[in-house]
Amino acid sequence: MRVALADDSALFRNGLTLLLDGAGVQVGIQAGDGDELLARLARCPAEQWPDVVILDIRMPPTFSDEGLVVAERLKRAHPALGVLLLSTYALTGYAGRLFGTHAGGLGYLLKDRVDDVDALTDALERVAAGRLAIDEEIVAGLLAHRRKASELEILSARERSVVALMAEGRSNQGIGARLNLSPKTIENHIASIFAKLGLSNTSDDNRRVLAVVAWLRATIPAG
Amino acid sequence: MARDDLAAAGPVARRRGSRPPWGLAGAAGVVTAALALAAQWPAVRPDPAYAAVNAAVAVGFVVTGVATSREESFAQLSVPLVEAGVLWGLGWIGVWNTGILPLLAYESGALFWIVIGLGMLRYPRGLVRQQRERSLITLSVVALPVSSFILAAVSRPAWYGYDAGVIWPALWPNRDLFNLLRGITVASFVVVTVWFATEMRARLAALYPLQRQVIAPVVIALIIAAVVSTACSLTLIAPGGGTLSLAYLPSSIALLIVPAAFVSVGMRRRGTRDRMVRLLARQARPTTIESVRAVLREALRDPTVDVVLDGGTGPDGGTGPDGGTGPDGGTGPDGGERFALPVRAGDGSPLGRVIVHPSMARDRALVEIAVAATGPALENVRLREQLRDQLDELHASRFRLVEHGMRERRRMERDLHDGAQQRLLALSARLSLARAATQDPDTLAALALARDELRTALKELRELARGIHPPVLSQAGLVAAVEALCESLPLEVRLDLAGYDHPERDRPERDRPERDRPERDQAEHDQAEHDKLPDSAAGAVLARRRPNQTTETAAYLTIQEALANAVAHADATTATVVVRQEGETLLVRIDDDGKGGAAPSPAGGLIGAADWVGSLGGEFHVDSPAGGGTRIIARIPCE
Repeated sequence: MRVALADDSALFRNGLTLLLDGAGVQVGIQAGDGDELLARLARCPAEQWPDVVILDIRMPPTFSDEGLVVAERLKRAHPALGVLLLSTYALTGYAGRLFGTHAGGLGYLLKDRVDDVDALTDALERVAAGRLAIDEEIVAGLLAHRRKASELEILSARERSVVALMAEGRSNQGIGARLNLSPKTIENHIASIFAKLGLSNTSDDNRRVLAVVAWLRATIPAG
Repeated sequence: MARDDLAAAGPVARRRGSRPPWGLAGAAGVVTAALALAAQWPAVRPDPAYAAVNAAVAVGFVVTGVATSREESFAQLSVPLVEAGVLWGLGWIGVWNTGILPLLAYESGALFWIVIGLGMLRYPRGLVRQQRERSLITLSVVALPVSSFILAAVSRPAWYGYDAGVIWPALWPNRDLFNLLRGITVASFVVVTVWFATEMRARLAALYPLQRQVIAPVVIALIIAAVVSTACSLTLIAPGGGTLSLAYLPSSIALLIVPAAFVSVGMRRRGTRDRMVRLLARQARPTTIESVRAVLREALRDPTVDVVLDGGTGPDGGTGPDGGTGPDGGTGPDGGERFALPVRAGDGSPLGRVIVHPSMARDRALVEIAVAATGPALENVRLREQLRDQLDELHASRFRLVEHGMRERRRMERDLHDGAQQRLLALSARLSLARAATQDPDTLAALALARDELRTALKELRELARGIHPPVLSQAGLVAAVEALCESLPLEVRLDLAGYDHPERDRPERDRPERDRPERDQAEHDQAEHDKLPDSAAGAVLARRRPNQTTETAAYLTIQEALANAVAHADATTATVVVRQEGETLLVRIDDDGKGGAAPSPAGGLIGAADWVGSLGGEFHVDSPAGGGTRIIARIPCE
């Protein structure tokens, strides 16, 4: 796998590059801010094109949400390109804004996850495959947010946990293992969620994404 | 004349010399009354009232003349007034009907007009210089004393009702010639009267209101008297004789206006002092330079009067005495030139200046009153302005301190984020690299412990940074920050932030530094770059402005402390947070359903929030009746 990395902290960039190199992920492009990244991507030959772009959210020049702005541009221009956002803080509003407009190939992790190379590569693979990867802490924040929203009443508590785990990008088996339920029970819950959210009979993987997206859209005011 | 000594002398020093010489005036009046009555004696018994009026005119002129002799603005009229009073008294001596007296009366009557008319023409500029004025005076002398003497020469005393035995220069008595010359004389007198009226009308316009108030009635009285006299001399063949002709009574009564006009000025001056004191006492508090100016203008009845504070602190401070900025109401035909009179404080230090029309500066008595009454009021104004300036400076420095503090906190949070946090995260990445590189269980266990420690360190560091300044506030704005805050509280919070620019449409751009400048804190509050966006980001951003970070931080702190109070002290279960933009202020209102009784205690968080808001020039109210929930309202200015 090949990735491009934009983060204004050279220290963190080097640490992450070393870690990814060790895990067999090639960091082809490194940049200190969004502009530099976009410029390098523009000059990048097709055979060097990354599978995933890793973006720090807080970068120069405003140190607010540059990474998010760059992610939106990239997703618009290259829908197939995976984008993994990194953030020091769990800012649920950003997640809602991002996942509310783009269906797949997106991830949002806390930078703390660099202490778990497996979780990191797992998220990169999911994003590269066009799926979602959301940090569990961010999901917890979204859930807490959701808890106060009346629309959530249509899902049961159990179903909400299932959606939350789906949002983290877990498989039925992974969810079942987490909740100590059989995969069959999880399937039933998921079918019930799909029905309640009014999702039509499309491919299962896509419906999972749509379920999460629908949930996130209902949660966060659209941008 | 008065410019230098008025400017140099203080109000107290100038009091000397302006008091009218009442004793002398009274004595002169008694003498004049005796002489006037003596002159009319044969007519006093049959016509006492008429004689009294005539005497009163003479006395009035003389007393007024003496009384105004030390008066800056009217001293020039003093001598003509006395002379005219004496001549008026003599003008009635013809009633003795004997010897030289009828001729004396005859010529006195003519000279009266010359003396008073000339006096008026010389006022207030002194010598008569213009050719036109000289022609008028020449014509007056020809029309009155000269022609009256000629008339006497071609007439007999009997034609005037006098005894044939009186001394009379009857050189060539001729009835036809007399009538012809008399017609010419009367016509000349009419011309002189009209000319005089025209001349005086032009002069009146150049006088300042107080002078005009005196001179206008005098001129009108003289013209009325002249017209009446002309009419009498035309219609009556025998105006004199042994009795007083009633036809001249209106003329005498009209002339009584002259002393009355001067009396009214004296009363007016007295009244001006009282009025200024009253107006100054009655005016709306606080005393301002504008209110003092309005009082001066009302008291002096002159809209061109101005007053300025020295020292350049007031709105008019620093304007020159030439009155370049003084409102010239158009009543000053001399142009913009103004006269500045220094006003001094009780300790003698210069306070300001009263700026008046140059002609008014001559009215010492009035100007003294104005300047003296203005002093304490101006002192008050200056004190208030100094106080206000100090208070403004205090507010400004408090604001700067608070803003600096908030900026420092933002900078510290960012330094933590960019420094220690990234360094620890990089360390974390290297640890997991090490973990992947080893299979040794002991090493793995040690690394796992290290990772746990690192996680705790990162968490604590994050909490610390959040406490210094919530990063979400700078990163995503107030709405996101409040939402995040509410998520962490065990409280049902209803957020009403619709009246506030949502950060989703309105991302923070305040702290954008210049792109070629790497030092962030230096450029942090550089507002110039706010509307520019890097090309790469421009597409996704709608550049709507939102209140600056200082305002947002104060709002956030208010909400944070209010909700913390609701949770920790009020046992509330639900709360409502309203944030709304109201013009130039940001309204923040937090209601909870707790037990109430909250008050900003010195050590509490509420007082901290109140201080933040107050130092930004905002308002902070806590309404918390026991058992009735708590409502906290903050209004924070948004620059």
